[in-house]
Amino acid sequence: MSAVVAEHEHDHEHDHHDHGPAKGILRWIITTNHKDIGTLYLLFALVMFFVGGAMAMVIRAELFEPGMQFVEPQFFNSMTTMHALVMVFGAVMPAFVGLANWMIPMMIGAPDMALPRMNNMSFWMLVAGVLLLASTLFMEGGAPASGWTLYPPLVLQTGKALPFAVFSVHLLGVSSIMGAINIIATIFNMRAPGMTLMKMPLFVWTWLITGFLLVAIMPVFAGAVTMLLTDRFFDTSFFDAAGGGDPVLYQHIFWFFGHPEVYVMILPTFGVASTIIPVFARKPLFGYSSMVYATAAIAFLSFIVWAHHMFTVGLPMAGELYFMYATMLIAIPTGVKVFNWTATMWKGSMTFETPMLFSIAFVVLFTMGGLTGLMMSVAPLDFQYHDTYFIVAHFHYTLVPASVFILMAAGYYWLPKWTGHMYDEKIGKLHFWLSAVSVNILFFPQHFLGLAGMPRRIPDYAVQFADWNMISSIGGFIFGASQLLFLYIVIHTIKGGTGEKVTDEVWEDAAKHGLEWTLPSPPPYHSFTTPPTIIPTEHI
Amino acid sequence: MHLCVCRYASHVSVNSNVEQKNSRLALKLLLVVLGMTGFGFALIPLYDVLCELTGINGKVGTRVDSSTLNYVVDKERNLGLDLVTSLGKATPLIVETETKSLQIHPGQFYVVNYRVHNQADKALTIRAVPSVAPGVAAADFKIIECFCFEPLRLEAGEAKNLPLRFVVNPGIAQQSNHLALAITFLNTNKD
Amino acid sequence: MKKTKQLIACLTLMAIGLGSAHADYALNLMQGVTQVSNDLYDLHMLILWICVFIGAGVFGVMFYSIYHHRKSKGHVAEQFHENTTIEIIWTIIPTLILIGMAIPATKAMLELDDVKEAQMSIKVTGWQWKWEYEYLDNGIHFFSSLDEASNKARQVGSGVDPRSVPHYLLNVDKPLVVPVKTKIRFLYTAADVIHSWWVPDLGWKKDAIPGYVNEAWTSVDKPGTYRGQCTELCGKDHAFMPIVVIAMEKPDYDAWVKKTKDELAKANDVSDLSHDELVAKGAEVYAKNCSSCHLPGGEGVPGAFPAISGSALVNGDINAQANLILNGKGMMPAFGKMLNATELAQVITYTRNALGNKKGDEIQPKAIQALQGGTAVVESKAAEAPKEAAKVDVKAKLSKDELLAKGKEVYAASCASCHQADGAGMAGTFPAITGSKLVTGDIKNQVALMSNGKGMMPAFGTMLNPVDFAAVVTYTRNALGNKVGDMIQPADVQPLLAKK
Repeated sequence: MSAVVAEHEHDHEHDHHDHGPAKGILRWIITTNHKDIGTLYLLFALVMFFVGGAMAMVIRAELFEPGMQFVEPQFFNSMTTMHALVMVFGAVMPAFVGLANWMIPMMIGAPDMALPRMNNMSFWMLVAGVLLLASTLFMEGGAPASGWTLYPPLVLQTGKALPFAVFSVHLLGVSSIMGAINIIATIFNMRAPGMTLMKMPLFVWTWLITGFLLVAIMPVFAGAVTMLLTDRFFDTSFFDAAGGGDPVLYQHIFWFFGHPEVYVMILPTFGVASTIIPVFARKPLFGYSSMVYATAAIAFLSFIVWAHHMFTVGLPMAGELYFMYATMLIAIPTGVKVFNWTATMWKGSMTFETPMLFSIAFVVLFTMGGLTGLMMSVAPLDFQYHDTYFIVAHFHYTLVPASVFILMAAGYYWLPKWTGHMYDEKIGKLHFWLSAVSVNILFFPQHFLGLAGMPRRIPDYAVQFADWNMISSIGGFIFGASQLLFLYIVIHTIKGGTGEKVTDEVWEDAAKHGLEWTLPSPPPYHSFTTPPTIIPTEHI
Repeated sequence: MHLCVCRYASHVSVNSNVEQKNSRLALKLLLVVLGMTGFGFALIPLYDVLCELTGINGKVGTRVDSSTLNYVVDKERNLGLDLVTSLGKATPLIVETETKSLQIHPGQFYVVNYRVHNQADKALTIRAVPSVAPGVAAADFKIIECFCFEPLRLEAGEAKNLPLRFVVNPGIAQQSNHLALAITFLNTNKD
Repeated sequence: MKKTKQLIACLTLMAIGLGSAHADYALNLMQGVTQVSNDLYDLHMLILWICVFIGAGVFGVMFYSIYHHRKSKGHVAEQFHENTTIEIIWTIIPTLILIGMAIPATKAMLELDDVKEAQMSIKVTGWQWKWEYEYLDNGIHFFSSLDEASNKARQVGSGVDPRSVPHYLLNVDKPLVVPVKTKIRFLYTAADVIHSWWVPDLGWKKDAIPGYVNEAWTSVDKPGTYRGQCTELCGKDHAFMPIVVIAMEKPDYDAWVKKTKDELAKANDVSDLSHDELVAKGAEVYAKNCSSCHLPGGEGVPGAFPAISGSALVNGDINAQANLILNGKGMMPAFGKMLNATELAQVITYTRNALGNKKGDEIQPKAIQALQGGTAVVESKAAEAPKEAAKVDVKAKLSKDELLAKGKEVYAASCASCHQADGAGMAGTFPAITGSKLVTGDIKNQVALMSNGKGMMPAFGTMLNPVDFAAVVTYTRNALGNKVGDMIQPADVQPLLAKK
């Protein structure tokens, strides 16, 4: 226990600051509290998950059968574009920022985030950005329909929506950057005494690295879309061959952002999995330091592999080979992670509550997504795989049963802590099994479609692709419907859940694994007002 | 419990210290953000340099001063060269080359003539964009004189003969034995 | 009922195991019909099996653990962690596997890139939403777009069952025809946005990028019809610009080349058609070329594609409309290059007399041709030069001033870009005209050199008509600082010009 705390004891007569939250709706608008903002982020992400999901349902409904049944091709393209943008920038990223807001101060023994006012601003900018993006759906010429990658020259054909989409990306970028700065500052400056970097839970570590990724890449993306804007409205020709520009240059800049961006979504996923698996295996994580180094290695590699998204644009031979070899290297640290999780389970004493089920499904299905990723890292093979449903299957395996499943796992794992109520385990397990089975019915056949020659981003297809598309759509509908169970569980748990009073630890011996389990359930409005004295190191 | 909150939050000595550290770190990270924004834009010239070195997309560089080239004509090697032309969308031109393909020796200077005829009843500003396949050969394809370096203005119905002078570096890789010079004519009128 | 049956069939298929491959249910990469596609197939299978093997190993261990090491079975957790030996092993083994994969991958990449010694070249241009093919060796040139039957069936609410359309969405009006066992080089570019040309049976795809050229090659082993699609999102009708490649034995291919050339020549027929004929044929041209943007009913898409119905342009001056269609504007392509004069006349007449417009007038193919500067579209390149020559009156005697005035124009258009406007040339590259020994010497030598070319100097005998030729010769000898004082008439030049 430090001298700092001892000093505190003398100050009894200072003016009082807020004791608790403000009342009513204003609490949520002006809040600077990490838990309130975390809750806002998580709920916003959940809403956006359903908005993006609804768009996915439109896509799967149109693809249920060959022929055009429901929507015009242009609207279909808007749907694929908006589905991706909403899911990436509206659902998955904010959900992880929400988790970071809630959990990082509690995990490192801090009272709150480092920059609370900025925290509030970054959330509301996110809302503004996403609403602005959504508003483009109702504009003349429709929402952007050029894919989430916004490749020129196609994106320059967008109707009235282009400047709005660009400004919304600016807002989302600024919001992410502020969130990342806040998280980095919190981790560097707000740790409790004794919480050294190498004792931090892996979730904190992965977010630290993710924060740096965001700070490095979001400005580049914002710059790229700004160039699109000036190309369209101010007569520049960054990407226009007619003015000496090059459309492929945009792809280079985009993927310089875009590849680290996909790791922004997967690194915190790794962090949560590494937090949950040891608790339910009742064992320390097998290799804590190798997990930290592997995360850093993956983050570093993400900056030097971008052109593997562009093998077919006509790179010189040396470029093709370099990006192939560099991409293959990613398999090594990723393999280390998968082996680590497996070794953590090995000879443990496992129980299979819903968070653990989702985490195990994550390890298995993410590995499958990783293996197809290894296949497409082979440049010559990518000349067949590129821009087909094989790619769609690959990245959905690394995003849905990986990032989304882990977000579900995190929800089940921490909901009792957040609310002080226990969720209904039976419905949780039902949700898991429905999701795990349907997600495979949804995405596994897409491997076959891609290999058989079905391009991605098409609203209609040749009849030989009909059967697998129908199966995939059925899986999609079941998966979509199953998520309503999660919505039910969240509401039900907030309202009191099973009625069973949860302990501070919630899960057996969880306090050995993380500081958050030493706080009451639900935790006080300000987490650690005095720094904790004992740092749990079981996770190490 | 609440008492603790107040004490922590109001304890000036500790708090201001951490707050100062926080804002200093935030400022530093903001500088990184600014730096990365600059880097994003710096990628444009960087890319051009890289393209010229490696020939990404077969991008042909700018005008080459022929007096700087000390090439010896390699009579032993015959390279095929296809002269292809393309028109962009909404580009009402007829473009012809005096020949569609020729055999060339590396190191030898050549001129080929393009005849461009504006079919429209109004003046057009055209941009001709050269590109070489295979991409790796682009760095060895030296264009000395070309109508593609500046915008090209054609009056209504005007036809022009436009010469293009080039030389291929005798050091060109052995596997590049059949080149294509593609010139795309793009209408820059934005109406 | 049929759909329910299909649904049941699908589910049954799933139930009996996803691995049960059936001919109709393609599961794997196709082997294709080229050496490259076969090599890539083998590589794909190799890496697939490596992945299956790794996956089976990892999941095997995990599921063993999940089954045996559970609390409900009374298993007590062992608290081991960190083991440097095992961590080194599981870093090194994957590294070795990766090296093992990289070697065949590099070989395949080199093979894919080896375009040299191609026997013929085809230039492919991507358009929204069709492909343009140009055979560089024989001049055949055409556009290839989605076939009529698929195009009808694919409209929202068409009521046509796609299953009743042969090769739904994978059929085109004019396929690309190539000979077998011939190394073909493809050059890719695009006119508007980025497209990507993919025929899985050939083994690769390549992006077509506006302003840039990419290359790839193939050599098809087996005659047959191979189908593919655009694989880079290129807008609204990205799904509807398929590729069909027909590979033929050499003699069949040669016959096709001959037939196609004859057909292309015929397309230049510009005889008049009746009003009804124009409108009726125009409807087909409209459906194929205009309806995807301006919609089949001509109502357009607000904010993106203007309506045809009630359009001021369509109901205004017919020549203004024709000019816009010929020359394009903004996103509207210049159709002067894509359609022949007859088709243009048909579609213009159609739009003015259908789709809610009742203008009542018409335009004939000849009038279109006049608007295009008297040049036929498809074969314009060959047709233009002789036509111009025919217009020129070689017998005319021109005064020196006339020759000088004409010569000044010709010089500016044909010579000034090298020899400079003032005749000073460029030291070391282009000789000066001013004070040149040749220009101030025997006029016949100058005519011969200009006519036949020399080194970098092109042979202008084939590029200029005798009048222009005589004019520019006279001009160079009496201007640009030269004062020889003589002149030459077209009639005297003609016999000296190089034979065409």
